[in-house]
Amino acid sequence: MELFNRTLSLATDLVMAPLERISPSTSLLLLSSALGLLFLLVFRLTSNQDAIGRLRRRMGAHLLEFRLFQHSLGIQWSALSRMLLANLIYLKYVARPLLVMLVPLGLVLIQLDQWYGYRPLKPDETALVSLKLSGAGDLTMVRLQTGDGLEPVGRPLRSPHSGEVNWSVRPQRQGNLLMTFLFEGRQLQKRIVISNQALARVSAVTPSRNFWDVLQHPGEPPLPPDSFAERISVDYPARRIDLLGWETHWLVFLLIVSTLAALAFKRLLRVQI
Amino acid sequence: MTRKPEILWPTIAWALFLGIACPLSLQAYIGPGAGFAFVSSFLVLLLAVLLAGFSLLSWPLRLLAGLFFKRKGKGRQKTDFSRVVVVGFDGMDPKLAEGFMKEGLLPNFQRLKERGGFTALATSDPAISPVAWSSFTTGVDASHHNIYDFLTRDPCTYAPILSSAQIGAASRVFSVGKYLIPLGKPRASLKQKSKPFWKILGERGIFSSIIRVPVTFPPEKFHGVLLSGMCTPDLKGSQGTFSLYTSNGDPSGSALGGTRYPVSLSHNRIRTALHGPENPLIRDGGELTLPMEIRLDPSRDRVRITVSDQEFELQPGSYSPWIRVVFRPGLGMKIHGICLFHLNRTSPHFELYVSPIHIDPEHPSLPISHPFIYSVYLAKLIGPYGTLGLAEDTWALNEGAIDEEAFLKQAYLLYEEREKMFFNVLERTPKGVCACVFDTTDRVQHMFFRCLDPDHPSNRGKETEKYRNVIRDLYIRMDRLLGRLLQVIDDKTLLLVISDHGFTQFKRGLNLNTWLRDNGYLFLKEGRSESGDWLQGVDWERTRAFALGLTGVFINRKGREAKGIVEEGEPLAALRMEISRKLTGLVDPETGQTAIRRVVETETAFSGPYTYEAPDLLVGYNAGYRTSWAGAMGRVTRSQFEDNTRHWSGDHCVDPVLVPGILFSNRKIQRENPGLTDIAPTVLKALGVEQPGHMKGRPLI
Repeated sequence: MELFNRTLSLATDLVMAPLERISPSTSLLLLSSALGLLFLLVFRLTSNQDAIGRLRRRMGAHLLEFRLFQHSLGIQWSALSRMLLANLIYLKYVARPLLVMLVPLGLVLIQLDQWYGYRPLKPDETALVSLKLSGAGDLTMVRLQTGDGLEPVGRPLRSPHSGEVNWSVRPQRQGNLLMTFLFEGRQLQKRIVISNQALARVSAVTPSRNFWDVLQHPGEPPLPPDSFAERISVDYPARRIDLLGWETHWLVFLLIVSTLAALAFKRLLRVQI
Repeated sequence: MTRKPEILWPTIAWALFLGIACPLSLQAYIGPGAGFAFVSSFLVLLLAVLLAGFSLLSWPLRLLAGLFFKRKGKGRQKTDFSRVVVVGFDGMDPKLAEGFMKEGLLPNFQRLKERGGFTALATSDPAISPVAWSSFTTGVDASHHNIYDFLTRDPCTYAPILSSAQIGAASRVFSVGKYLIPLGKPRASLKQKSKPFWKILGERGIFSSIIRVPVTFPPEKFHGVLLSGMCTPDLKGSQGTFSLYTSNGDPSGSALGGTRYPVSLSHNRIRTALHGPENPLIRDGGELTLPMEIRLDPSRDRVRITVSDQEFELQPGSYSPWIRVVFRPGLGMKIHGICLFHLNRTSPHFELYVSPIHIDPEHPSLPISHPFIYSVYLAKLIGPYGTLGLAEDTWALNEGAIDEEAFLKQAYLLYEEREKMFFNVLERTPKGVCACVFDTTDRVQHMFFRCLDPDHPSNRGKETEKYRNVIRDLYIRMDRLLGRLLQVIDDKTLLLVISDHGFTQFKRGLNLNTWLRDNGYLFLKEGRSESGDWLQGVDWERTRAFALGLTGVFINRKGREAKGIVEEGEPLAALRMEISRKLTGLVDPETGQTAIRRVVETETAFSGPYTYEAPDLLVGYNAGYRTSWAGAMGRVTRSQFEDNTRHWSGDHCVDPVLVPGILFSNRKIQRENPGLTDIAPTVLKALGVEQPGHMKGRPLI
């Protein structure tokens, strides 16, 4: 799994490299459009295009039926019920391409979440760092060592109930700075990204060795098997993407742009959706 | 081809597992897939909810409007019927129907006859479909509805023009360089006079669904839905022009009803063009064409055709589905059509038939339905369908562009479309009138009637035995349709199954223009012994009478025709009588049979307001006779009589007494000798609407 994640992350980094210098909105616009087109092609290959075409025309017909037979409430309601039934059948036809795309698209979105989900910290911007112990232990024994350019702010906050220790840290310069966590003579490390650059990969969580945790946090290797921590995370600021003046979550942006791109190209690529 | 479920189900299982075990993945799955689902599905749901709300909220208003309509006019009486269904089988013959019923081949017609009634139905005079169906529609004769034939002549030019409709370019155009930009829609107007019964019903708030009843192009507004039938043009504006692409080396040119295009093969590839309508945007722009490439695969005996961004494969003897073609005259304008391709053969020479290009019902370039969206609705519901008035390409079979098998396939393809339409419409017309005309009966009988008579001249050189039962099978097929219909109608439905005329053999043709020339009524210009098509070469300064159309003789009347020479009054009456007397009982010298049984003088026999422009004489041929092919084309030839050797071997353009139609009803028919003009009053009465005074027929129930 680690190898898979590394490979996928490397591929994503290669794709993202030319986009790092441009604004997140622009780069996401390009990526969303490309994803929309890719999905459109997959949709054409994996769906029953003839059946979808027929069904959509039938739905159109039932809509016209509503206008044509205005004199009869019975016919109008029957047209509506036929339209809803056709809609259900449509969902059946759409299910196959959706299912085919579910896994690859999910993996791509997990990768993109590391680029667009959060933004790196800026110098002098405070962030919360959390460590959760994997078993019972004395939380007062957990310590954070920060190197040059990063300093803890105040005292750590310990929560015995959840087994978590939280630190507030403030970076003073840009870079991938190292944090070292110490507990009973053992140590763990996590990098924190401080950058003024528009786009950078940010791994908010160092995952445990749980399969799903590793799958969802591919930006760094999981904690070692005998680790004293179950999870280490940095509370990076969430990124908002500008969509025509509307600050929104990147997934919403992607949903809208990729759908619009697919709709715009469906005629050219002769895809019935 | 269906995909194997062994791929699908593990994918579904994997996705569900992923969704349950890893919610973030699903949460993250907001891509175009979700967008499609939203756009296509959720919006439909939303729209449905909005429409349902609108439907409920507006119902009281619509109810009030309906009550207002019902109160308008003279009101409505209570009757036993809430619906009238009229099924028209064009050309179904009572004698044949009775014979097949006796043989037990038509159990459903037999059942209907026993339950209600069956009788011959007097047809119109002349017994031609547009005339007869106009009488059905309006309840009046030709002199009241103004339709005497498919064609009439333009009195200014003597050129043939459509009797039923006038189609022209937009009245105003904006000229920019070579472009002529129309400032409005193309003009189309119906020449049929009087009022169809569905308009009268609509004025009383009664809804009608009218499917392919002839002479309904262009459609007129009324309370109901209507799809135009016979007389609807193709995309070229003609009544059907097929194309034949052949490498046979025949010279190119026009055949009757079509055009032959020579093609040559180069490395198993043919590059040619599909010919469409005239370019309406460019002055003398010529025909619009679409490049067409045909690739032959000799090893598989197939061809691959690429036209209008579409590619499809054909094997010899097979039809393509309807192919959508789009012509682009310029300025972003598009003209949509649909056509069928039939590969006749690939060896010893290549031959491809393309049907007339029908107006695409989903993107009609001319209004072919009322409301305009009705043709679109039907196309979305049942797929593309033929819209040309005379959709079954009889000319193509007549001219040898297709064979009998291909013709029958085409006719039944169109029939199946009609059947789908009809049952759809029937379901959506629980009250009011549902009328649908099936043309298959007429077209198939025209082309195969010869098979009922071994001595028919048309049988020479043609396969006859193989097609001996085509007409019997046709009637059986109509019986099956009737059976399906009888299952879905209730006791409150009046069912009328009618035909506009019957059928008889067409073995010999008489060229009336030749007869008129031989008898000193028609003169050709000096030095000519024959005329061209449409009376080209006729000397109008001396001609007193000419024939045009299938039964009409026109007197070259002074003041009516551009070069008229016959004075009104006594000279006119005397000439009419003279020609009528000479033609009545005319004997075919070759067979010794009477070719013409009677001749009707229009102005004396009819009383309606539209007799002045009508043919002055209507010729009633004897069974076995009809106007000859050359005569129908307005050509003066050497001989008056000729054998009919074409596939078109049955006809009905004879003395109307010889070719009555049929009338079946699920109620007792209470009048003797009913006629087509009685149907409209019957429908009105069944729905409690008083018959207007101008209608000549009488109710039959």
